[in-house]
Amino acid sequence: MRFASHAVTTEAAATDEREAPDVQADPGQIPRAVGTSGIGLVARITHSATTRGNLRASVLGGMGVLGFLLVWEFFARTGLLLRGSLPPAGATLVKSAQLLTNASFLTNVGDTLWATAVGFGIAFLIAIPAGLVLGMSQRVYLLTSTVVELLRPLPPIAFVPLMVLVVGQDLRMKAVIVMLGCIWPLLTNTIHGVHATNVTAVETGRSFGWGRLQVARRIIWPSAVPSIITGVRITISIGLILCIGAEYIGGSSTGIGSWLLQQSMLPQGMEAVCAGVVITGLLGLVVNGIVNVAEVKFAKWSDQEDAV
Amino acid sequence: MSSNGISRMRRVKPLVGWFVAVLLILGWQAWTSISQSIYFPTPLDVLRGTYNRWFSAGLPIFLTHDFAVDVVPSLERLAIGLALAVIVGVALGIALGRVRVIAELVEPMLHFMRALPGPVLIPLALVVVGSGTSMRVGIIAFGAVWPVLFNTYSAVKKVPSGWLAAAKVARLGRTATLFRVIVPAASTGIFAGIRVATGIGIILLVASELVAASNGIGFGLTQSQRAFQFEAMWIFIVALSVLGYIANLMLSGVERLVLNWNRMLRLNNERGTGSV
Repeated sequence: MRFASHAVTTEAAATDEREAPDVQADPGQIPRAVGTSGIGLVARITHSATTRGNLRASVLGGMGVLGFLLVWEFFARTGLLLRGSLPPAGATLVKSAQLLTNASFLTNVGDTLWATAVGFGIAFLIAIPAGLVLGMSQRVYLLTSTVVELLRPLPPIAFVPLMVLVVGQDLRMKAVIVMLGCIWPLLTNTIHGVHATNVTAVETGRSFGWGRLQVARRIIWPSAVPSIITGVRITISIGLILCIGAEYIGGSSTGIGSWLLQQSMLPQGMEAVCAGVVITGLLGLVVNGIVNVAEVKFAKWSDQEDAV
Repeated sequence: MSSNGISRMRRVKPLVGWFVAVLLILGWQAWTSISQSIYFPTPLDVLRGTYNRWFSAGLPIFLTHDFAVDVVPSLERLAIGLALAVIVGVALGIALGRVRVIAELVEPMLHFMRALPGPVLIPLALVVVGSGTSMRVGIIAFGAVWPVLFNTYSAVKKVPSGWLAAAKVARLGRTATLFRVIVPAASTGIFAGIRVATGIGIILLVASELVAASNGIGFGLTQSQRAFQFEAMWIFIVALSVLGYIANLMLSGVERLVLNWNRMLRLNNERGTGSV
């Protein structure tokens, strides 16, 4: 309930990082939480869209954005506190709009997204099954947990120079780096999700004479889904950071990171750099939004599954 | 599984886990010494290289001049950047969680900023703050502040209203309520945020040291790449891993300490209210 409602209310689209511990904290509640999330969600959406509080929030939020742009414009025009020259906000926004119709820029954006998607996809295909196995089998968990704890803190970005030499500077390198960064949060969130399954529900399933696989599919998987999606949300933004970082450091030929690097070396390139940064931020927001929609869908799906 | 079996497994767990880890490292040693790939030196070579590069200065401190050039500046930047992120993030998070108008004013802006991947800001930061240490510290702080801020924010909002009411009944002032009720209650969430922030901080440390730097781990890493010194490259990779591992250990230690204090404080509070 708490988990799913975060997705839509404006207050909390932000809480993803702390939901894993949250899910961990009350394992007993999870199956029921999955069961009621759909209803709570719909109620929230229809309710909050019409309330005055929401209007107030968007007016105030708009004022906040406007204020930020004005401050930016002020500092850019007066040159206070700056070492170099920062393009003013208005000009940057115009440039951003131009970039959105610029084919070569959009190709770069597409390359970054594709590399992130490939790396994330591979990580997903490895981490989710591995997480289910590690979560369900105490024996495998005990055997591997030390190794996982040793590997998890490795910063993926440290492998960029190595990967540049081993697999080149482009798609494969980026995908490997993104994969290295995505695999651990996905794995740990899957394990948390499995561990949070209501023990009574599992026992009930067993008493129906269900085998391991059936218990896994009908009880453990649905209750692990919310935690897995939390993992997906955290992971996608990490993946995007890593991909752009890898392009920037690894000297890729395409991608947002390399585009920004090229522009920053041009004389008068700062306007394009700022516009690129603005678009990257918007891109991050769009990706987050898509994951939120997927979250609503999947929460509903697990709700139905639970009801069957 | 019987409870007896589980408790036995708990006891042997560290041993078994380390045994598997040692097996893996031995396997790595065997594979790298057989394959003779130039990209992958053997772990023993990397270990020897690390010793020669950083720890071979002899008594009394062992650390070489290279250590001071390669590692110390990075540690400084990371520590200052993370400290800034934690201070700003917790303060802003509490302000947002307590005062609704502030939250509503800045929230869209914050979501936008949080969606900005840290490395894209490096070219911008070069222009705005120059290429000194402050740029690197700023990049780390900017990237790492968001998980701390948003976690603090949501943790503060989740403080049970009953506790706040109890604080009022106990006539705690604003400051006392903040430091004795809200911050302790939110500390678990804050720590979860700091943990995420540390990982991001290390990424940004390396990324920021690749531009216009003259020292640090990230600088050494790219230098050795350009010179095709694979062993040196692995030394830096392992150093970053150890850094990540130690940072994690330290965080866990501090967390245990603080959360213990938190529990004691809560006990004290209960006693306090009992006597009133």
